[in-house]
Amino acid sequence: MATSEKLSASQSRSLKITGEEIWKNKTEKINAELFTMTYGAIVSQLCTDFQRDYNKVNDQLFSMGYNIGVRLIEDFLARTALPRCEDMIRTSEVITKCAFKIFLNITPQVTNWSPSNDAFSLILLENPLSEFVELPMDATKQLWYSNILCGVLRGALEMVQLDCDVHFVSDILRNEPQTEIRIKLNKVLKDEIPIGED
Amino acid sequence: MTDKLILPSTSEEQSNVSTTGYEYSIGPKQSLPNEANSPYIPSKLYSESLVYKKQQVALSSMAFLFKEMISQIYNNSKSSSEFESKLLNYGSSIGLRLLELLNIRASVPSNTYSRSSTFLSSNASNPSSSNNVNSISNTSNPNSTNLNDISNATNVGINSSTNINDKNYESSESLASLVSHMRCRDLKIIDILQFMHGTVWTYLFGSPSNDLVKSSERENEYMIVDHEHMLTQFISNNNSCDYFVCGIIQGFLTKADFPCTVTPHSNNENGIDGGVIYLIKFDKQVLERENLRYGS
Amino acid sequence: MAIYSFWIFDKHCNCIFNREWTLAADTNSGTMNSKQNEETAKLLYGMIYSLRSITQKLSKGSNTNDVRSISTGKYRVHTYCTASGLWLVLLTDFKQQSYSQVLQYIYSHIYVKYVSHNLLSPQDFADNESEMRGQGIRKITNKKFLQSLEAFLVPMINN
Repeated sequence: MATSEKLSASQSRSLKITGEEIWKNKTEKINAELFTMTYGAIVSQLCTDFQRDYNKVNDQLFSMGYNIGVRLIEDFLARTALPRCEDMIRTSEVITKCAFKIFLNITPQVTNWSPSNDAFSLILLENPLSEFVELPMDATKQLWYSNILCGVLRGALEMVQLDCDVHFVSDILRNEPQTEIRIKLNKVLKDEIPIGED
Repeated sequence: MTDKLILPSTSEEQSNVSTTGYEYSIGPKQSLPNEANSPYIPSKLYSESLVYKKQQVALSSMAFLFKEMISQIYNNSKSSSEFESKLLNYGSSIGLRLLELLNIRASVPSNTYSRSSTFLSSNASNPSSSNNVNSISNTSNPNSTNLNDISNATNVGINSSTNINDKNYESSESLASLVSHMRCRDLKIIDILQFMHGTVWTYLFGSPSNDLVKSSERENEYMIVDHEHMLTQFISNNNSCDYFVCGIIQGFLTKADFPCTVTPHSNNENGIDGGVIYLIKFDKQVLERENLRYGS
Repeated sequence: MAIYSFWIFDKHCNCIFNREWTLAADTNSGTMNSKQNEETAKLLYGMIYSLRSITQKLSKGSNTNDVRSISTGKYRVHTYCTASGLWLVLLTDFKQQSYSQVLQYIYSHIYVKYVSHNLLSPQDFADNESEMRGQGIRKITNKKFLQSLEAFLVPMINN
């Protein structure tokens, strides 16, 4: 709702088409259930390894995601050849209509813009990571099961010079009404310049 | 010493349950005691259909996740054998879940229902993956007998699966309601391996494995040949990472009561990447049972 | 068409790969990741960097006004910049107008495949602060990357 007002409809549509076209024709695919179960195996092993200290599990998932994000961005740019985004509104569109579409075949909704347009929320109506998942009771208060996504977003955005905070606000796995990820821009990083040029 | 043998069998069990995970005794629908007043939202999980939705993600997402898993395990392992056994465990925890799921999905008759839920893509009968390849691997494995031409009930449903239109799919459709006859449990080694080679492989990687071969030297050894090795194609020259798929095979077969060990071997002939061979060694008891039941 | 040399710069202004083919007749005469080319790399980077700064000033901050190629009397410099700050630079003769597809291919099919997707390859070639801002020393040495890059570019060296 908010996005179509903020970004011209034609720009928004063309990103949507780009994302769908790449997903359809230029992406090798694999069974989502294998992906889901592999992630499940990772999370459950981490819960055991950290003796059910879910804050540690969250941190570990985030850092795994970060490691993925800083590499995944190159894959993303190679597929889309998109230039840097001029503002967060366009960034939000690129993330949902292109990145989520190409890698996970879902398109989250963008909503809850901050007044200064530097923070927004992604609402995940579907989440391939958490299919077939029910959290054990002791985890529902602390564990952010899909926290790897926040790490991926954080790492990938940092590589295009957007220093952002990314965190989960709610998750249907915790019996909350929706799955929401908050992304807030801290600052736009400056490109490095070689010594002697400044 | 002998005192320790007499333990009340329940006491330890109970403490275990309360610290790890679900309270099965209460059941999943209960909320925590201290939030009894909070609104109850039932987990969708139990009402969701198990009909295969054919959903996909990008291979590169899977590759990135796989690599991060590898490095996570690698960093926590002191030796390569520890690494391999850990990775094998990840895989086997997936494999053992697949047995029942794929069995019931494979029981759905593919021709009677328009929105068939067989999970095999319509190009499963890709000729390059069965006929041509057999001749190649026959030459490379002169000591082996080829098993692919043995006709088997498990493969009947594969090639006739209809394409379902994802948009027509109704989530409320119950998988069980589509099944009139459960397919028989696989009791013979050859049957369960055919199921692995055809159905499981198609489910995991989109097409049957390239070949299924019986060793002529040892009668408890079988090989699944996979030229694609989809997950490890980005990882060079080392079979260690293939222990994940070994785990899937091993978990699946062990759950089906065919205990075995599975190891990966590279199939490089003359420097050409021929993919991976998964060597399946069944435990002695499996062969003994097979001889008792079917031996002449 | 003929190509003379190929360079990759990372976001820390470091040259992380260079390959030079000097003699058209003898492909073995070239250099790879040579230290002798460090000075050239810095000059090349500086030239593109300055031009980029100017074009971006001229277009009032819009980042779509990118430098694509620079021509001199004897050769042409083709550049391909990614949003992540990677620069791929190819020096060629005049016969072909644009090498952007070639560079795009190298990025998406060779760099991404053998560097980004490769767990054992570093993702960031600067280990610490002192290796940033053009002071870096690390290069891409990964065999598969070198092999496939070579296989892709060598047919273009002559003619």
